[in-house]
Amino acid sequence: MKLRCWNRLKSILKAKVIVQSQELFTVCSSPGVPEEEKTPPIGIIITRMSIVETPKKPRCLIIVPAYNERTAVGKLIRRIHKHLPDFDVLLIDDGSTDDTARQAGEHTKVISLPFNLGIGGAMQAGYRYADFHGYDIAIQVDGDGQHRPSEVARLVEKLTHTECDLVIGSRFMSDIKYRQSFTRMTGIQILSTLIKWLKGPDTTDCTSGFRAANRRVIRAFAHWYPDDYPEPEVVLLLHKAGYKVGEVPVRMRQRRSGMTSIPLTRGLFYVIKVTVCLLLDTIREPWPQGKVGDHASAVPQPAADPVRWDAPAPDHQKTQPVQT
Amino acid sequence: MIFLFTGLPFLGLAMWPDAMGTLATWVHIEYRTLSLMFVAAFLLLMVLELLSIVSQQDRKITTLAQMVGILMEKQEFSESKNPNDEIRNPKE
Repeated sequence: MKLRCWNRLKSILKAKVIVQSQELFTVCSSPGVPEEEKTPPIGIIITRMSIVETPKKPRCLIIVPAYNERTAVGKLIRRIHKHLPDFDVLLIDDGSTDDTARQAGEHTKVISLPFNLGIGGAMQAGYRYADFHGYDIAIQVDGDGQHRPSEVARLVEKLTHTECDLVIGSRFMSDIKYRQSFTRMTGIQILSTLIKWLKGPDTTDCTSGFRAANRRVIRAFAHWYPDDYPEPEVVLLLHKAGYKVGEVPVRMRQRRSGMTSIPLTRGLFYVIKVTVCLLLDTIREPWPQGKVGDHASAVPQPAADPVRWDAPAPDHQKTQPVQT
Repeated sequence: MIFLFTGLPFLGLAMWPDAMGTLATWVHIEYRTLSLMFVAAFLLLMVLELLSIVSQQDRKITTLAQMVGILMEKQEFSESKNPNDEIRNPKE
């Protein structure tokens, strides 16, 4: 009887149930018991139990920011669809003057920004879209084709199997050496050291745009995201705000076409500007915990979605105590 | 432009150096240097205020541009789903 009730309860809840303490009805179906005192079909009083939700597949969105990348973006999107057929793809055309948006193809969503906002503005548009449509994971894949879609699975795996809120794909952790000019390498080293010095996480590739964010970070980014050169800044700011930032080794392609957003001549200016921003970030608090509620997103949230942007990550492995 | 307009008073002072002395006499400030310092501090604060306004407006424009992009995508999606739907005037 107990087993039958137990199986029925499990089938109702459609989840794995762990009963921490229970009391069995002794009057379950005894013949002498009056009809009104008979117990319901499930003859167990559960005083405390935990429901471990059956892991569901996270909804993933790949955000591809692109500015005048017509030669690379079409090929990249085809590769993404080939390697990751279950993932949605969103192309952010950041006010391109060429026909970048038309390269998207049939099954790709396209946001065409009215004018060029820069990488920060374009990515925030993507995070706002992900937030509004309730995606669990958002992955940034640059439109220049440097990021390999085949490596996305590594980022997602790290994000879902660890406590990380943001996972960065690092070029320099991989066994295969990534060719980088001396000046760029020096700049990255300076910024990584500065982030560490400012009590940020220890990262090897803080400027990498190849990164995956979970729902908490998507909400935070939809609320606020830096405008210029956001990659190193958010690493420090997220760490300061209590989010966990991790890294995985990935392989990347060398850029073959289009224009880099940071030419070598502006490299020095980039390092100086980011250094100043990082120093200012020590007194800045863009995502104050608990001070911004559901209106954090500029896009109105669906009423049925009670998840707060600063709420704990929906960890499927975590048990949720339920009182009955 | 902000810095250009802020520089105009100093250009005026360069052309008419006694202006500061006259101003100090009007407002009964004994030392001319002190009045110059007050003017400079006022202009600096004005620049900071204007920069802060520009920064806020920039963020608002960015948000609006993002929303326009997202709404256009939504509209295109709705139109592709229901291509025969037309906006009809309820009075007709």
